[in-house]
Amino acid sequence: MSPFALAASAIPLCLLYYLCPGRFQWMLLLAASLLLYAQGGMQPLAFLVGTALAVWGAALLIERIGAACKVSLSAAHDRAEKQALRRRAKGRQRAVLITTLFFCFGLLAMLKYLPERPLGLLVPLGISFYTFQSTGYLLDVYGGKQAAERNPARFLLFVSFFPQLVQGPIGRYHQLAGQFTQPRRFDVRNLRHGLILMLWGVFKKLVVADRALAVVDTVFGDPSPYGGAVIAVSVLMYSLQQYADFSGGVDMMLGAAQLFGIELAPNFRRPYFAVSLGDFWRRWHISLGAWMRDYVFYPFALCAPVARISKLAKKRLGAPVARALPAALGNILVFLLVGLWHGASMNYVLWGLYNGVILALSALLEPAYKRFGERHARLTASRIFHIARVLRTFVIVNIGWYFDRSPDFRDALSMLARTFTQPCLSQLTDGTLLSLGLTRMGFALLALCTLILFTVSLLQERGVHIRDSLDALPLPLRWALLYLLIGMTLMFSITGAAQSFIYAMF
Amino acid sequence: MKTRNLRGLLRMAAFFALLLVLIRFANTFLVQTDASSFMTLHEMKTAESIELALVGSSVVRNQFNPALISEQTGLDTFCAAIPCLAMPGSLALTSMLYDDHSPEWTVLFVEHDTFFTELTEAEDRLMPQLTNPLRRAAYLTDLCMEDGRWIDRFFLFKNLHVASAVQLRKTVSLRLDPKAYLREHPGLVSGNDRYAGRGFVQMCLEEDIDGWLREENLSPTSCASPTEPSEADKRRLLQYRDMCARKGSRLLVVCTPNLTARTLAEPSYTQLRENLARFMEENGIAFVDFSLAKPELLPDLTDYYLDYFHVNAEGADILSASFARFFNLYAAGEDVSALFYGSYEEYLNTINYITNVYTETREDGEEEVVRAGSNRGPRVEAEYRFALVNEDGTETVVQDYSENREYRTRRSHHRGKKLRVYARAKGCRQDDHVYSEVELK
Repeated sequence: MSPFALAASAIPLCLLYYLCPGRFQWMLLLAASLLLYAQGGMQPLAFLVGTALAVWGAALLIERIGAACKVSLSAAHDRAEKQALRRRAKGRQRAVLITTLFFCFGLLAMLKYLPERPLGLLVPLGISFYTFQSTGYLLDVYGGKQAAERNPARFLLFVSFFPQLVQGPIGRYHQLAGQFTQPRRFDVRNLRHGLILMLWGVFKKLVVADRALAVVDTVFGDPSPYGGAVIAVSVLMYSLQQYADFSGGVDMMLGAAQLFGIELAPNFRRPYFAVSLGDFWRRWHISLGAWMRDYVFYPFALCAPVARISKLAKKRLGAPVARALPAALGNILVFLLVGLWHGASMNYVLWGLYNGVILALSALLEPAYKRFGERHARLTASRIFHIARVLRTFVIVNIGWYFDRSPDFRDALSMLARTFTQPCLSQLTDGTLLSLGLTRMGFALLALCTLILFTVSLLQERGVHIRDSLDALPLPLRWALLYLLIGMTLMFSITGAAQSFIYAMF
Repeated sequence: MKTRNLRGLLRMAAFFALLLVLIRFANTFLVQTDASSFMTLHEMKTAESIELALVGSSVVRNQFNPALISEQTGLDTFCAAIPCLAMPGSLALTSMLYDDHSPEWTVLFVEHDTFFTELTEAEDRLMPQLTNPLRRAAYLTDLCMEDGRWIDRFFLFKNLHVASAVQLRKTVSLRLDPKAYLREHPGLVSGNDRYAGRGFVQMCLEEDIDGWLREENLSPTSCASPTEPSEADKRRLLQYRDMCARKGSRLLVVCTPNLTARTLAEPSYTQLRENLARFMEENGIAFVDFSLAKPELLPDLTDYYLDYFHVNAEGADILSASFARFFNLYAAGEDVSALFYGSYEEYLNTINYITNVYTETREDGEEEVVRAGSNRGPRVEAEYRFALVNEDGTETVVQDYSENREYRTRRSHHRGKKLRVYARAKGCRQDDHVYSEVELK
């Protein structure tokens, strides 16, 4: 089922939701989520339910092992016995955790990476997202940060809540579970704001992302005829397409959830305004970044072998390097995994390494940056310096997109090399640009829409709450702006070729 | 809270109500409007009397002259026709016609595309012109249940919006004062086509149909199609029958004739018509297939065809006169079966000539192979001749008439040269007008 259909289903469903008695509302959401997911077939539904139940059972088991251990501890006589009991319990908990993680990620890897899937199985929609979400919960229970949920149906709703199912955001149990079960009363503000956010998401996806897609597909499909300038344009288009596609889809889903009064965590925070690559990744796909930080980066950076490496580095390379080393290695590992998550091919590995290595270098150079900032406080506080950092980050991110979008790493390297060595600027004016799938009018329209997107992002970056500000406008002006947005979305959307969302494929 | 919610909901309702009005406005005044269709519908509404309604697509609009038919039948005839109209549109259009008129006869003209056209622009264009909102809603539902294009139809202006100030002016003028528009633009449809009134468009041009067929390279493989109307269209045909019965109008369904070459090239075409005839008979619907008309009723129209389906104005008059002759007899209760062949087999067996030649080229190792074929009556056997066309227009015969359908040459040997492939019925004298051309690689 497409994210459009999911978002559209939320509108009639929200009417039913508010008509339903408060204590049954979450059950309605669960039934609707499963029913909507089942539209894609019973096999994907079976995987979803199977994963959720496996994780739910494992979490409960882990908690029970912990509880049993506590009971045994109270009966233990000495410290050594207590330690042995704790060790044994931890070992059993770890065994349950590893088995369940192996099951969940094994299933994900089998369905996602095997070139020929057994029994002709389909890749369930949003499998990565619900796998991350449910295993995150399991790791929280294992780490003692979260109590295990007793009710399997409530846990199933946490995993299957339809607005977040297809492309995230990857929710945390402690943020969502309470929201699901809390009885809710109708609030027209939620309805209004939810619908506006959905409309904004549709605009970003259908008008901006799908329009930019034509150029991206043409150039990346066969880059050989194009010089560096056209390639650079197509990478910029990809930058725009990817942002508008992913954040548009997420906006639709956040809006859909808001119709039910449920607030999902934002997944984007104006990433192209980031001042460093690290900042960029804290603004882009925030929920995945946070997942990786909590469940990969910290456990890895704080583990004993890395501490030993750090210690070794302290002796050989000095304390500043030793301090930065765990973070540097952690970043490389995280981005290698994120790269592999995008796909099991060399270009994604290179893309992950590219980001990881730059972040690692940034971590290593952090003391030098700090010193520079202290010495030139005035310069670093200036607006020009800020803009220069934003532009530098934008360029770094875009270089990474070469690897992310190219079909293989050789193409990516060749395109990157050509961008700097064979710009062929004449292709920008000799008609080549207009043969990429967008007319002059199409480019103009894209520029206008990008300007709108930029303006809205800039206002948000300055702390303006767009929907609250809209509410404060005089009614005729507010309606006129909304009609304009609806009109633009209807007139300029590329519905004929409505493309699936990029991240829905993950 | 309750008051705030109520106020908010009322505002939201007002917002969406105004949005609907804006969409309706855009769907009416900002969509391209086909002038002849608009005039047809406008005239249909204002016509004093319609006794014989001819309903269908361009096969009606361009081929049946209502003035001539009125004159010969004595019934006020009107062509309620929109180009490319399929079954859903025919239903909606006829029900609209019945709002203002009670024709004694309703003749529904069907053809291959009535059942197999994708429900696209023609059906969409009809929508804003349907007068009754309920009918429009029923029509929209009928179409969208079949192809799921709800968004495209609900926001019609998105795909069909006017593309220039001239189109906008035309649409607005037609909407506001269609008669004034017709006065200002007498040659309404295009350079060669003229709206002659009562839904009839005369196509005042001539086409070298042999040359056109050569370009089309019409072969049996290029036009295979389904042989049964869909279940949805069968249901619509029955709805149509019931609607006519309720109105007290006598229904006759007529299959229009096609270019003979097309009939020969497409076996599924004849099967469709035979299946249609069976379906009509089973359901008590009077049905006549004009492709099976004998020469004494309908003379050969080949020279008047502009494409596979449409004849020019001159051909339209001949066809109309034939139809009127047939109709007079049919309406008088005469047995008209003698005017038609009993089956396609009988009809096809009367075709003792070749309609056109087609070619296919392929590579076989170092050779380029040109394979010829022809559409012809089932009893006709063909012979082919292959000739290279020289720069001065003369021909060099490379393979004279024989049953051999293939010509082989070394690749690139005659690069860029034209090969002319003639066909003639075996045993006949040379018939030089039936040929096809292919450029050698």
